[in-house]
Amino acid sequence: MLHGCLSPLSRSLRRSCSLSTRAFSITQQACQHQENSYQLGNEDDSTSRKEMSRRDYRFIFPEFLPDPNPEWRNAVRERLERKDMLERREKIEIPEFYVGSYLAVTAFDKNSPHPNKMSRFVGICIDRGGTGLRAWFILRNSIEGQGVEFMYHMYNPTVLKIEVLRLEQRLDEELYYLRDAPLEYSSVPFDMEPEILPEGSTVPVNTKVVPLNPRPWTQNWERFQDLLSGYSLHNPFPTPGKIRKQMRWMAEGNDGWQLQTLKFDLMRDYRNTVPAEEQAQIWEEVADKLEARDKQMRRVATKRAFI
Amino acid sequence: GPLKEEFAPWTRGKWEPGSRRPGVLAVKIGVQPLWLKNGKQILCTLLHVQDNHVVKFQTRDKFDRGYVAEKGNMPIYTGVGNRKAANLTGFVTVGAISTDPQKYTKDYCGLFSQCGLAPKRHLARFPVTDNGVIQPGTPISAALFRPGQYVDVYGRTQERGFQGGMKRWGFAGMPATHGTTKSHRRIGHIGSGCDKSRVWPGQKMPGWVGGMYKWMKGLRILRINYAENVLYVSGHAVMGKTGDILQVCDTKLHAKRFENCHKEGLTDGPKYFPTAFPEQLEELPEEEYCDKVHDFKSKSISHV
Repeated sequence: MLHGCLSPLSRSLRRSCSLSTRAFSITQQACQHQENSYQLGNEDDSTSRKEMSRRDYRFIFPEFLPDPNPEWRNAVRERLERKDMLERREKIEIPEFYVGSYLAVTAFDKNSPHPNKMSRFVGICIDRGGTGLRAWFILRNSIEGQGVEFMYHMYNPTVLKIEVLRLEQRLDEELYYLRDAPLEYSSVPFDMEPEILPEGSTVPVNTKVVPLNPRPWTQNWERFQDLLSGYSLHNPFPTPGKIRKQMRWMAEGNDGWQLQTLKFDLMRDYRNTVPAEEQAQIWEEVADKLEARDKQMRRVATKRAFI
Repeated sequence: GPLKEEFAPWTRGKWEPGSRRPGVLAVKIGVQPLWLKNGKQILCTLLHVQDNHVVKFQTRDKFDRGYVAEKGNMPIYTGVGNRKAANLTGFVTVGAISTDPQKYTKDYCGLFSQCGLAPKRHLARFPVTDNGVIQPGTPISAALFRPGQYVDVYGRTQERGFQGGMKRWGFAGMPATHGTTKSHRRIGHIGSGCDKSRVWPGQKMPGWVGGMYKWMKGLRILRINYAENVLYVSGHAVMGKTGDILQVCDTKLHAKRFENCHKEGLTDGPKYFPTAFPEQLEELPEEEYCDKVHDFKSKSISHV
């Protein structure tokens, strides 16, 4: 089960070493570092600091990094795909967001009852993935007491607008356990106004721990309590049978035991990440355009604010 | 003084319905989504035309008398005993990806030195009509094709090893339960018994799957990047893995040939025939999309 294929939960383990990121505008961040270096008069520092800040783009724009599988990698194709992504970003703002943020997506829907053929969905982002033009994210909300999820592709030209209503992170990289939690934890009001963070603040981490509903569950949440810290279980092993099942699953050589060894598997981490040197090349290629676009959008936003 | 006859540039033919010209050798570099103007997503395979040159031209008479046609065990596009297609008067050989001459024999390098080229890693032969002939030494690029046209792709399929009847021939297998004894994926019955008293030749059985040379016909070119020489061909199941070499040529399917594509607007033939020569490459844009495909530089799709 775990050989080769990367299950979503094991993917979270790989990303658990990520740092929290900043809600800076990326241009401001780059400028700040440049200013500091100008005051210090040390040019070497500026390049290294700029590189370090660009290294953080792997959290803001994770879809620009290619799939690390060497069988599918090709420099020409990746370069062409990144060019298409930048062209699309010129037409629509694809904001920085993380799993746990509240988003509102307006998309073209030919079956929509509205005359403008648009549909707007608001929800909490429970997962994001995909590389390149296939980058996707899933929004979850509750509508009239029914949990609803929508998957959107970020570079799909029918997606007209992506707004971040609340920018925050959670304790985990995936929130699929919200499907087995009370609906109030997945509810986002449709008329919610965007909450703007003060300039230069870090992205807040919401340390909410979600209590799950009693069984039955969609997944065996009692098994992943070490990997995911955003949910709590009341009485995970209610019967002796459940305890024995858990012990069997955790016995040496079985799936649970393998899951515990994942965090020590450096080669697995190496295989599933793009080397830092290649990442630096990618950011060198795209970061200028991304920063310019970010600056342009900030200018537009401030103009609107004055109106 | 005036050029000697053998060094004079060859005449360039004009397209007419029924013409055949050489194709290209392209490397499969991956799969990417594109979107149509009605909002539908379509996966397309990227084929990178790398360093193609025309290496040789042979008249059909010379080829028919040569080793390949008479004794070589290679596919002949002009039919068994060379009886088909009288309008195909020659064969053009195209080579791709120049390499170090030290890796090859003097004889192999000699094939290329005649037209002043470095030896190529891959070669492909295309049958052509009179007007489709290109002078050896001419570089060929993705601009040979036109966005919106249909192509045939020829290449080696992925190897899947020794496989059973279900994967190789699509057999249904047998039930997983209800008393089935040790026969869930076996091929089952293989002969009738009395009449022939033997297994017929050609009986479908487990065996080697993949690694075969196949044609995929009627694939549409959705987009061409002239700067990087990349073709975006519709479909994600083009044979081979990333990095494998493929032959790409104008389609042979009757309904998808230039002269029969009235709806697609291709009846006036390819833009550059037989190919885009170096002086014509300068006038090309960086890339060109097919009519129905959404250009990433254009606005979001808010109505159909």
